[in-house]
Parts: sequence; C-alpha cells; structure tokens
Amino acid sequence: MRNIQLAYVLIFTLCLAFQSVSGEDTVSNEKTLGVHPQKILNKYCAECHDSEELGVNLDLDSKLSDWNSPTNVKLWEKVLHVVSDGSMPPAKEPQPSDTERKMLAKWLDSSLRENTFFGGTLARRLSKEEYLNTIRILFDLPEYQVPLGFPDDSTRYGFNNTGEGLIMSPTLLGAYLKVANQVADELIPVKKIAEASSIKILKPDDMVANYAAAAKYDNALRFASSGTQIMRSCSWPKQMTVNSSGVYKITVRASSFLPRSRNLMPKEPMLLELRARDLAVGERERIHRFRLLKIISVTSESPQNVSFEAELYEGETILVYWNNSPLSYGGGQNKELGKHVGKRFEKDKRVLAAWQKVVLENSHDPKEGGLFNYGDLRGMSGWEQFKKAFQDENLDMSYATMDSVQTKKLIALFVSQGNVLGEAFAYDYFEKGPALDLHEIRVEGPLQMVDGPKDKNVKDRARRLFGGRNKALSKEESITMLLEDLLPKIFRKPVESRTINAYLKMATEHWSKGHSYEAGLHLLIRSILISPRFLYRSLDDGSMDDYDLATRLSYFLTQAPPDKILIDLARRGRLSAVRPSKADPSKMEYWVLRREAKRLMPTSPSARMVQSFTSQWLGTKQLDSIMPDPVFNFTADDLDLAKREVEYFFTEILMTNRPMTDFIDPDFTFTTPAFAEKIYQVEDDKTKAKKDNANKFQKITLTRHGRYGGLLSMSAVMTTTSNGVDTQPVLRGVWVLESILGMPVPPPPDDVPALTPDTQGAKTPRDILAAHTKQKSCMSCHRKIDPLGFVLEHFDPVGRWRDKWPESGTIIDASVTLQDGTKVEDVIGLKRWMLTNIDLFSRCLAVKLMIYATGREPSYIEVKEIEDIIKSNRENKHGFQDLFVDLILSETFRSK
Amino acid sequence: MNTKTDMNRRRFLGSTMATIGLPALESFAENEKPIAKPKAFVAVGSFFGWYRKEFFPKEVGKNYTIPKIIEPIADHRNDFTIFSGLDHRAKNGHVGWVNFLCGKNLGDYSLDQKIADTIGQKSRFPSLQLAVGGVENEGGSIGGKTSFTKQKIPLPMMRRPSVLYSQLFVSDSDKKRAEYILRSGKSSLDYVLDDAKHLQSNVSKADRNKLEEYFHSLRSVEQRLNQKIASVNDVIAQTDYRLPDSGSDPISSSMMMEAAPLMYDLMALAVQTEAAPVMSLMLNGLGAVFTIDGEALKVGYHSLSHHGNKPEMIRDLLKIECELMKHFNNFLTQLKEKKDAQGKPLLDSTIVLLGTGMGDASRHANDNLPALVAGGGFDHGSHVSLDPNEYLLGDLYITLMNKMGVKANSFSNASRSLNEVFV
Repeated sequence: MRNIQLAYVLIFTLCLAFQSVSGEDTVSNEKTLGVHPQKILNKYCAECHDSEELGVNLDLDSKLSDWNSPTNVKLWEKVLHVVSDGSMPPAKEPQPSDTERKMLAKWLDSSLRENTFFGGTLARRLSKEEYLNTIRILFDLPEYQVPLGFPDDSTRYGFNNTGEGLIMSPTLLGAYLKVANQVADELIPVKKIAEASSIKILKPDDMVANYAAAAKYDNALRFASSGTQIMRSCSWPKQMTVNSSGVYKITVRASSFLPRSRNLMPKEPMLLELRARDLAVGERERIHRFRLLKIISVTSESPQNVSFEAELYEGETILVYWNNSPLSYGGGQNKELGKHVGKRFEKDKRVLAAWQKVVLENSHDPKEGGLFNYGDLRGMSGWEQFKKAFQDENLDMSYATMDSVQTKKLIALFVSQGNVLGEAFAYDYFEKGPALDLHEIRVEGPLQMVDGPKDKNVKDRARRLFGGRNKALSKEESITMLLEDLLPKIFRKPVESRTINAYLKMATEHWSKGHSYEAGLHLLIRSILISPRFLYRSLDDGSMDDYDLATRLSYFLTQAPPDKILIDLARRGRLSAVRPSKADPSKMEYWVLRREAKRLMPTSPSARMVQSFTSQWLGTKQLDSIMPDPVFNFTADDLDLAKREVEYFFTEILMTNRPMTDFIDPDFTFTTPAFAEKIYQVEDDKTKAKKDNANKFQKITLTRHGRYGGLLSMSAVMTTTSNGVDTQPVLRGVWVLESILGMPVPPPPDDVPALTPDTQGAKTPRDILAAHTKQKSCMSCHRKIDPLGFVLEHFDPVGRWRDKWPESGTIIDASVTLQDGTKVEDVIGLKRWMLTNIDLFSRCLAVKLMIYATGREPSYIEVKEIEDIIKSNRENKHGFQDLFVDLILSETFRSK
Repeated sequence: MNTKTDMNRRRFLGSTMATIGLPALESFAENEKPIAKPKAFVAVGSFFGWYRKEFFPKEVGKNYTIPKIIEPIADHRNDFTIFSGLDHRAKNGHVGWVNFLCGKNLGDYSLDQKIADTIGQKSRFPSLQLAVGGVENEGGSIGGKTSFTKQKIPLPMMRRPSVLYSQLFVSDSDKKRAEYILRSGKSSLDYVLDDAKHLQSNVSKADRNKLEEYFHSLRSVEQRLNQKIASVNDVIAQTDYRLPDSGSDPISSSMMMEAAPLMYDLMALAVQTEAAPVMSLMLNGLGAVFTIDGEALKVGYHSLSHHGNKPEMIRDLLKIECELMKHFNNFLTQLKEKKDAQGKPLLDSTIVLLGTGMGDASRHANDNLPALVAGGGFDHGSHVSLDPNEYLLGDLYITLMNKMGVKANSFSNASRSLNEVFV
C-alpha cells in the first residue's frame, strides 16, 4: 500500500498521461498556477471530499498550505494517482476536461517534487545475517554461528533489512550480550588447569558397535570389514573423551581370529589402525578424515599387548579400524562388495543358492533393483535367514550357476543395496573369520599437557587481532594502542578520543579490582559488542560521509562490513570523488564509487547478496516450507534446483549485462537437463547422448517467445505461489503485481475465503474468479489481480505445463483481458505485453534493489530519479549491470 | 468428583488463584478436599511411536488386560490413563514426530511452551528441552526439534546429562565464573550507556527516537542482570545424586538406553527442587542397534520400526519399547516416592504426558496416536477410547493446559477439550 503503490498503480492504465506530466517542461512552482489547481479541486472534488466520512478529506486550504506534513504529501500522491488514471472523479460525476486534468496532474507533480526529499533512512541496526557475517569477519571466526533461537528480523516493504523493520528488543539485546560473551570467550579463553593423569580401561562392552562395524564374540570386540565410512567399519569408546589435550600412553590388546582354513586372507599380517576421533565430527565421515595415531601388526591368534604414546586433543577419543580386511562395503565401496561376493559364489555354489533364496524373494522387479523390507535382511537377521536357507535340504540349487539371470541380479543387488546386504554378509566373517579381535584398550594420561589445534588457533588468532603485547609498554598504553586500532574497525568509523578514553577507563577500573590484563580485554570485547556504535550503522548527524557510503555499499553488495580498500578510500575522502563523465563531460561522475561498485558486485550465484535479495524479492524463501504433493513427482532436490535456477539466472543477467527484457523473455535458463526435461519439457538430443550430463547444473538453451523462460514461467515462482497441491490464481496475481509490476495490493478483507480453483464440480475456476469482480468490495483490487494470476493457470503447482485442469479434465482457457484492455491468450501473450511495457518491470526491480540497499521506501522525488535512470537505460540500450551501477551512483543511494 | 459444580469451582479457582493465594482455599472448600493446580508438566515423546497393538488395551474402561508395552508400568495402573483414537489430523510422513507437541502444523507454538509461558516465568528454568539418542540436528528439516515458541522458533535440545546436571546443581567454580561475568558485565553497562547517550545527543531526531528502542532494551537487560546477580548466590537445592563417573556423556545414538535413565533421574530432581516446571524429553534413537538384557538386537531401532508386520521384527521392536517403558516406570516410581513440602507425592502435582507424533512408523501414518497421561490429580485407571470423528489429541491438550491453570479453549485444530470426560 503506502505511497509506492499509490505512485505506481497509475502506470498500469494511463502510461501516456503519466509520461506527459513527468516530461521536461516541469512547472516551476505553485504560484505560477496560482488559483487554477485549487479551482479544479474545488470544482470536481470538494463536494464529496469535505468530510471524514469518505476517508479522504480534502480540506484543501490547510492541506495545500502545509507540505511539511508527511501525511499530506502521501495524500497528494494519492490524489495525483487517481487524477492521472482517471479513477476519480467517479464516472457518474461531472468530469474535468483533459486540459484541467493534465494541469492538475502537472501541478501536483511539481509540488511533490519540490516537497519530497532525498534520504531519510531510520537508523539501521545490523540484520541477523549482516551481524553474523560481521562477527565472523571482524574476529576471524569463520565458523561462528549465533546461538539457536537468536531472533529473526521482521520484514518491511518486502525486505528484512529496512530501518523500520530492524527493531531492537530486550530479547535481541540479551542475545547480543550472549554472543558478546561467547566471542570474548573464544578470543580470550579461561586458562586451563593441568589435569591429573589417570588410567582408563576399555573393555569390549565399553565400545560402540553400530551396524555390523563390530560385534561381540568370545569376550572380544570382533571386526570383520573395512569400509571407509566410520559408522559402518569402526568402533570407538562409548563414553571416553579426552578433556585435556596431552600425551597419552595407549595399550591395545588384540589377536587374529582365523579358524577357517579357506584362504580368504592375504598373506601380510592384519593391520589394526588407531586414529583420533574428534567427537564433533559425524559418524558418516570417512576414515581418512581422522588423524592416524598408530598402525599395529596383529600376527598372533592369542592376545598380545602393544603400547605406544600419542597426542590426543580435547574432545577426541580413539577410533579403531581394521585396515586390510578382505571384506569391504558401504560408502561407495559396494562395487568391491559385488566382486567379492562373486568370487565367493564361484567357489561355493550352495552359498550362492542360499543368498539367492534370501535376497531374491525380497526384491522388486530387477529393473528397479530395489528391495522390499530391507530391514530384516540387515545384520544378524539377514545372516540367520541365510543360514536357514543354507542348511535347508531342499534348497533349490537349479539357478546356482555364475551365468544365470538370478545370479546376475543377486550380484547387482549386492552392489546397489550393499549397505544392507554387506551388513548381513559380514556375519559370515564374524563367525568363521578371518576377523580381528580387540580385547582391551588402556589409556593412561595426560602424561604431559600439549596445545591442541584449538589452543593453537586461539593463540594465532589472538596474535593477529591483538598483536603481541609489548612488555615495554604499560597496561594502559597497550590497551590504548589496541583500542585505537580495533575500535574504528569494529565501529566502521573514526573514533573520538572521548570514546577511547571511556573504554580505557572501563579497563583500568577492572584492573584496579585485581583482575588481569586479559580479563580487562575480555570485558572490553563484551562491552564493545553491545555498543550502538557497533550494532547500528551510520549513526551520526549530518549528511552521508564517505564512511557511511562505504558501509552502505559494502553491506548492500556483500552483507559484510567494508573491507580495507573501502575504509582506506573513505579515510582519504576518495570514495565520493567525482570527475567529468566521459559520455557527457557536462556531467560529473562518481568514478571511484563506480569502480568500487563493480569490484564488490556479486559475481557468483552463491553470493550472499544474490541469495538474500532474490529470495526476498521473488518470495522463493518460502520454497523451504513447501512440500509438493507426490503426484507432481517433485522432490526436495527439485525444490533446491528450482531455487538455484533463480539465483543463477539473476547472476547471469547481472554479470553479462543483459537487457532488462531477458528477465521476461530470455533464450536461456540454468538447471539440469533432467530437470529441464521433467519440468520444462525441453529435450536436448546432445544431453540424451551423454547420460552423465543429465544431472549437471548448466546453462540450457530455450526458444524465445515460448511457454518457458523468464521469471513469469519459472518453476520456483510457480511453486512458491502455489501450496504444493493446487494452483492459487489469486496468489499468483498478487505475486505478478508485487514482484514484476511493483504494484503491491492491500491485504484482503477478513471474511473472504481463500480461493481454490477446480474443486467445486460444476463451477469452473473462471466462474469462481468471476464472482470476485461482481462483488463491489472485491472488485477494485481483484480486477487487477485475477487476470494476472489466471493467465498463468497452464502452470501446475510446480510449474509444469498442463492443458487440462486435473480433476474436471476441462481444457484450460487462460485468456484474460488486462487492465489496459489488452487481450492475452496465455503466458506467452502476457510476456509479449510485458516486453512492450518493460519500464514497469525495470522500475519494479530498481525500486526493490533500492529498498534493499538503502533500507527505506523511496520518496516521490527519489522514484522520479529512479524513473529517469530507467528511461535512459532503455534509450541507450544499456543492460542490467549498467542499471545496477547507475542506481548505486544515484543521489537516492548516496543520501542517508 | 465428576460433577458440574466441581467444574465450575475449578474454573473459578483458575481465574482467582493469583490474587487469593493457596491457604485461603481452605475456607472455600470445607466439604471437598482442596484441589491444588499441578506444579509441573513433563512430556515424553518417542520419535518412532509406540507399537499400537501392544500399547492400546483391547478393552475400554478400568478392567482392561494389560498390553505388553504397558506391562512395565503396570504397578502404577491407577495413576495413569491411556487414550486411544486421538490424533492431530497432521500430514502423514517422516517428520510426524515433530507434530507431537505442536498439533496439526509443524512448528506451531507447542503445548509445553504454552504452559511454560504461563506458569514458568518465575522459575530458574521456565522450560527445559531434552533429547536422548539420535544424531544432533538430524531428523527432518528442523533438526528433530519438537518445542516451538510463540514466534515459532524451534528450541534447542539438551542432549548431555552432565550439562543438565551442572545447570541444575551449579558447581562452586562455575558459579564463581558466572557471577564474575554477570557483575563485571553489569558494571560495564554504565560505560556503554554513557557512551550511547553521548552518541544519541549527536544524531537526528528520527534516529534519536529510534535509539530509544535501544535504551529501553538496555535497561531491561540491566534489570535481568540484576535479577540474576541477586539469585546467583541463592541456595540452589543441592543433591547427593551423582552421574556415573564415566568421563563423558552418553550422546551417541547407540547410548540412548544409557542416557534415558539419567535424564529421567535429573527430571525427577528438577521437579523436586522446583527448578523447572515444564520439561520435555524426546526419545530419538535413529540408527542405533541396542543390546537389551545382554543380547544385541539384530537390526537398529529405526529398521525395526519399519517392521512390515514381520513377527521377529515386532518382537525386537517390543523389546526396545518395553525397555523404554521400564525407564519411564522408574520415573513414575521416583515421582511417587519423592514428596513435596506438604508431604504429598510429587506425582500428584505433576502431569506426565507420554505420547508421540507418529502413529505407525512402519507406514509413516500419523493417525490414532498412542497417548498416556499420568499424575496431576486426575481420576486415573482407565483406557479411554474416543471417537476420532469427535475428538482430537489437541482436545486432551486443552484439558491438560486448563488443569495446569492455563486459560485456553483451543489448541491447534482442536477446540473441544476433554474436560467433561477426563477430570
């Protein structure tokens, strides 16, 4: 709603009238027209608008004279809007002549230009994302995460980073304080006390035995396989973690288990690997991810002790792994398993027949290669079924040949379902060997404390951030130097000595109570991080200086604080430097700002700016919460692909400076060929030839003027504007108005039910929608909304083309008449119409970018500047990147 | 007890409790024994549900034959009620467990938080969220979390008994550090405030107004620090209870059977010391293979929950669920044996809800959810079977909330309550 809407809606119907008033011969001021505008207002408006009853009281005298009131300015914007688009006076009332109408519009336009201003963003605190990035960058904590439950920001004007939306609350400040404590603890940790050495003895029962990684036999923990994923091949103590980084003496008691005479074991001795397991690392990780402590050769069938010393660090425990077991499965090694079982089957046909019986009875059609009820084929359960079959006298041996279809299918299943079947197969080795038995691990220590990687990191980081402490300096001198260095970085501005002294005093007072230098620093960090100078950006009086500009540019383009180059430019006052423009030497150009904008502009679809801006602009943020109905065969991966498509698409147009029309009707998109075929029905022969290519994300060529391509046909958009089950034409219409045309609509009245097309039997969606435009209260908005949503009815809830409605089976006729009277058949027609009115879209996107960048809704005069930029961009056949940079150079962007 | 007058009186008490206080009740109710509001609420949920055929008794009413899963808690049969036929009408699917406390829609304001927001504000911990087994942050899009604030923020779950223990019974050295951080932080606020005021005097009028939000927040944080400083030296109830000296927490998925009894012990202590009036415990268990009575089960808990009606699978699944019920039994026993200041069993003033968001894990169907309520002063002992066309699980939740003194006549999609059926 607000003035944005008021200012924009008019374009929809009467572009011409509007353009004429914003033309060159702007009327200078109200005096030259004197009584005329007032006369026109009195003649045609005052009769109705003289009381509060109608909601708009044009109390002309007072409202005309007081242009300082923002409410009055908004009111006159609204008047300009209704006068220009002809919606006032109502058709049944006497109408002003064209000249009168134009004169009034002209006068209002010039008055609004004169009485609205550049700038006016409310003090913005850092948004949640900006805050997190800032903490990470300032303190060199790239992995830092704010605590779970940290409050989210509220959205205003479509974005979560506007001055009005960025509210401070006790809960939020409490969360900031918590983060400040955590950061201070990370930078200046509490000194550790040396831990006394102790002995821990780990028996097989104290060890983890997940899946078939290990099993308890004969009072030993037995290992049979050597897959790479630790949860399927390794064991570790259930409850022993090292609290103090140090040197430990580890004694392992192990033996080999080889009752089977069959030569399944290679000649070399069994190798038992001990590695250090960081418990923070998940169980799905690969073995080589963990630090090797020792490899032990196990050569005896009776238990032997081996001792060694090794460093273990805080949070680690011991990982046990049989390096050279003959059996290996899971985590990408199931092809090996296939070969392995093949050899076994070749040697023992009864084994083959028994596995055939157990597995094939549980399998689907071989083409699908899946298993029913895989659960009970796992582990010991599968093994017992095998043994039963193996011992069955009537076991059917007729397919137990290596070349039978059944054998091939069985081996294929061992490959495709190796995680399940390997688990059962391992029991053969548990029972008959070869296997490796672990009897006991004894851990003694710490014999000596050492710095773990974490301690080393902390020390290095402290050195980088705080420098080494110069012993020749007093505590006060040291901390003053440090504050002079750190505070400007943290506050993104030069800092007065008054502020530095305040913090120095805080530290001195703390020391005077007997606390250490480090404790004083810890307290400073905690306090600095809750200062408004850190939490808010650009808080001081006056117009925007180079530091503010650096901050605005940097957070806009990178969601992060200004880097060294920007700060240096700001310090030298160069960021706002101008010189005569090459194109037009009569105009000055912000050439340094242009250069820096190009330097920091996002160049990758994964850039924070691209993700944050596009997901808010287009509403694709909501994709995470949509679960399309299974009938659409649209998986969580597809949702992800759809979202990535938007990000790649946006980045490509920006990076390669494509024309604005490519947002609507491009000849390309980005996705996988598989997705393009499945959703966009685009088949590419080259793609088909190369099967591996099908799931590679890439640029896909489309035909222009077709059903697919551009924001109005994108799967992410069609899915976002549906609910996963039905299409919702009204939501789509609202989306087109808000995100493409820049004309937000007010929320619907409370008593209106949501519209679900195609569920009412006899009533067609068209009938149901038509009801909207019959009811007076709905009509004023829905005659704008409904056609724009209905024309997209060919797209199902995930964006796939359909010719019929799913339940009724009736042919979809999506033709509509747009507000300006243009008739369009379907989305192709809508796109054609958009191309002829591309300024509407350009302005919508430009205004969104400006709200995101400046944190405010642009004023009337700012919108006029944006319109001029767009017009010149189109006339000069420039691209999106040019527009993007010109917006940054605008007075709107450069005003506080 | 199940009379109309009783109901009315209860409502009256609910609305006036805050002003008249407890002792005055005696003069009101000479003919009836005084009914105090329960003081604590504990919810225990299972991610994979409870095997329904052995959870729901075949008969309704008081004289039902005890099903297998209920057997471990049979000693308490007059202190709990089993409900069948209730659910949230939530979507079927993997993440059904999340619906346990939040009703029809994933992530909605959850039952425990609704209660905590009314009764927990003066406690050291307004609410605690605990979990055992499973892998941290795995299990659905919101990391298996089941408690959600009014603002739909998923609350983190505590998985380390040692962390819970140290929070409930703070050690002196930790206390000293906590107090130091609080006191030094508070004294530094004056400088922050001073500098901020200087800053405020130099900004535009609009920004000055905007900064008022900051000052308001800072003052409120200062008050909270003061409160914390004032209570940091309060005598926190001490306990002889010690966690097993194993050196680290049983947090891996295969340690669920070791972790659950510790969490129950600590929850009983938290109820007894009135440290936390609202707690939830989720039994996760994804991926783990358990050893029960010295015998390793053949496959993991998750695989067993997809039993496909195979008898051997169901047999092992029941072993796990009965083991989990033994832990639960121990918890109920503790709440019965431990007495409050008036000498009454804690169970009488504690509502314990045991349930799940998953109806049948084998099919991922989320209808007819097993639910059981113990304690809290209700008239127990029955199997109450309700018509699913008439009632929702949320109706039971409304009754639990009302009993706790939370004024509510709706929960998620339910608005009926079981106040007439369950008193």
